Amino acid sequence: MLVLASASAWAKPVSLVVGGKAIFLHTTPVIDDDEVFVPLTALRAIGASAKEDGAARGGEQKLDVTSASGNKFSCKARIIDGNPMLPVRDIAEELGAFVVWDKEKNTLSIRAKLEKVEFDGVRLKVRTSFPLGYDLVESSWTRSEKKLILDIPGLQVPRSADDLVENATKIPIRLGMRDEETTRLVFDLPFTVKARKEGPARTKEVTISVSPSLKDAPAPERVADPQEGMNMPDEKPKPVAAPPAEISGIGYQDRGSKRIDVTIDANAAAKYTTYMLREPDRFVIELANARLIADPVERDIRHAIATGMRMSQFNADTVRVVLDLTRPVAFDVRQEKSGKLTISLELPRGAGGSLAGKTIVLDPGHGGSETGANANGCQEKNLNLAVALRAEKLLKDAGAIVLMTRKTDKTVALKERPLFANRHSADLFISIHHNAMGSANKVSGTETFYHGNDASSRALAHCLQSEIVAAAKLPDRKVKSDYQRYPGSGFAVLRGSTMPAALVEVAFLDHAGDAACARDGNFQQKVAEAITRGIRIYIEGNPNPPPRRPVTKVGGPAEEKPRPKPEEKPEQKPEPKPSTRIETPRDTSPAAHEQAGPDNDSESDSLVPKGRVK
Amino acid sequence: MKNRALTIAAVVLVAISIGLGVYISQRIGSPIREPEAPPTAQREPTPPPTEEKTREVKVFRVVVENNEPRLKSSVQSVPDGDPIRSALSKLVEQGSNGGTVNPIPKGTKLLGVEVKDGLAKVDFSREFRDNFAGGSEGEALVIAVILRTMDQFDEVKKVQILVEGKPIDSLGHADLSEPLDVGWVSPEFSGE
Repeated sequence: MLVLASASAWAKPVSLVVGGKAIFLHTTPVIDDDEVFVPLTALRAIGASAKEDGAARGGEQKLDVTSASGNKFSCKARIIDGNPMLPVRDIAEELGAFVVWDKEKNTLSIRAKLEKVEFDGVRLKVRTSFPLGYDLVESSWTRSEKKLILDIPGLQVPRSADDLVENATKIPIRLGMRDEETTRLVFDLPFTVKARKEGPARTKEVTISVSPSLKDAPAPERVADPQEGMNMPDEKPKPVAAPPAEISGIGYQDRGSKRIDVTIDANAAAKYTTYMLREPDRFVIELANARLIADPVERDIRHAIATGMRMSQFNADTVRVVLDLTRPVAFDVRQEKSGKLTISLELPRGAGGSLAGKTIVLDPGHGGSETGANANGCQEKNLNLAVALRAEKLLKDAGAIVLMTRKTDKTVALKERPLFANRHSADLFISIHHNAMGSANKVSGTETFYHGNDASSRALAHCLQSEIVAAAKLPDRKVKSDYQRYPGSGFAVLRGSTMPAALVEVAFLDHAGDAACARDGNFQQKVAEAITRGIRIYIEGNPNPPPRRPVTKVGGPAEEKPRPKPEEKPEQKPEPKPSTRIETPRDTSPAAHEQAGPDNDSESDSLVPKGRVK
Repeated sequence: MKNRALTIAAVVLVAISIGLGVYISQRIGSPIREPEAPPTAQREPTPPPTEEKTREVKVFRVVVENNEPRLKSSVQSVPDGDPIRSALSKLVEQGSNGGTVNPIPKGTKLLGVEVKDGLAKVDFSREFRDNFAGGSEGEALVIAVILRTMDQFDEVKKVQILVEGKPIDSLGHADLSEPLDVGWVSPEFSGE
């Protein structure tokens, strides 16, 4: 009736960690010759069970074991001090367990393996090889970072878990080890969501429901660093990120005069962020945590809407692609599981041809009993109408057919406005507003909204915003989706129209400086001219397209001769930064490579100027 | 004599049984223990002390930094009885001062709030609509502080804004005629 294996001369007691926490067994595990033996009671902690198969013989006991996943197998336990003990590392695979023996700490950690991550925008399911507890963290600790974080202590993820992730949304999911014991999933969100646990506290299938749905939500505007949020802000960062995606080439397919598809070859799905730039018109996509393994590309394109494409390593972990355009375009980015990206650049809806003859609906916001914003002696409804009437005249002079949702100070229902445009089969719908935030002199500037994820409306908003900002010279509050304001719903006035639609917020009336401008007839005229120019550019393209560089060759990137760069021999390519690797406990490589390398800006002369593109 | 013998026998018996009891309880108490499940699985939220009569709620307001408004919460102590109503009252009544802004239109009073099946119907006085002087930005901020304040209560999943008992169409841009999901907040404003 003696207790504990420690009584045995050769056996040392070992602490056991399951689910990220030390657990206590009345028979402690023992280590013998690098094999670790655990008592049968340890199986229960990992959702498995064992039945004796016959009597013990020769110091061994045959057992029938059933893992948490229902995998049945037989194995031999060693009898140590009268207790059958399982050689846990031998049977780790069958148990669906990841076993780590830390000699220094004399600690045995049994972790579950990640089997599957499924996310359809409404429900997140994480299947693990045996039941674990989990913690849900909804976080938005700064204005721009919206995250949903799921911590599962005692779960091991493989170095590359991409195959295990089935993500039906555009929301990037980052997966890594938050610390030695804990797997962290980070969702970078375009807007805040409410997440709820479903099912038991300890489960093989962690289920989280999310509302509102992220099914059709856009990817967040801002691409997070792979590391970001992996640790709580007050924690010391630990290396957890995935290895960089290797970018191996770029090409394009001519889809007729109105569309061109650009493809970027990659071996893993890199997080990306996109920008539209005007004057000259460019489309920029930046791939985060990516490495260009081919030569930099600078190549001319013969196409009605694109003239060139350029790709280079922008800095140590960003690959930047710039597409030179003849005009603002509607773009759509698709990313395959393999990592391949396809960027479709298209002539936006309602564009092409001439402004003359197009039907434009101008919608002066509010009116009648709906005054809109009211500050500094300005009533929004009156200023909206003033600008719209000026724009109406300018557009008519240019030969456009202009329809006004109101031409006087009358009340027009919100939902009626887009329907009016639909009834007249208008080519474009432009709502003119002035803003206010409810407090004096705090916020100033111009912003333009488009609806949801509509690529043509986004192009229209860009055309209007860049012209108005250039003319009005108020702070540029950028182009925004109305989903940024009201996820999944947007503005009532933009939601109902079938044609490309944008809503301009010219200035903040509760800002004295903005209000003084907005009241001024000259300013109103400038804004009306800018709106007219923006519409013209959207339809007709940039009046001053950049000169085409002489076309050298229409071959693939491989045919191009990059400038000789002796330091770029393949074997001297900078290694991935140690911080971008998932460190697993078995990874014994030295933690600190010195060779992060300086940011590679040598190609920036062929790309947009150094620094963050606005 | 007989009595004495009996007494001794009884004392001995008691002593033995106590000793045995202690022995047994020790045997049972110490080594025979089931493996504990990982404590994460067992951790229950610690129940709030029942004798406490107040609780803390977060009330949201607006701060502007670098020309960008965002939400900021303050923690306020309210009676424990009806925390949702208390939090909304605090929200409506909080003043604006130099640094922070209460975007709720001036003079607005909370007429009532009723939560049923996850839907909170929040009834404001007519000032909510009549005194609203903002544009799309101000409108988004009004909605954001209401939703974020309601979002802290697990029983609230949707919010319907009423004015004097009736739904309103809009404050100018957003469709308010239907209940709003509590997560329906401009991501640009989110803050703690």
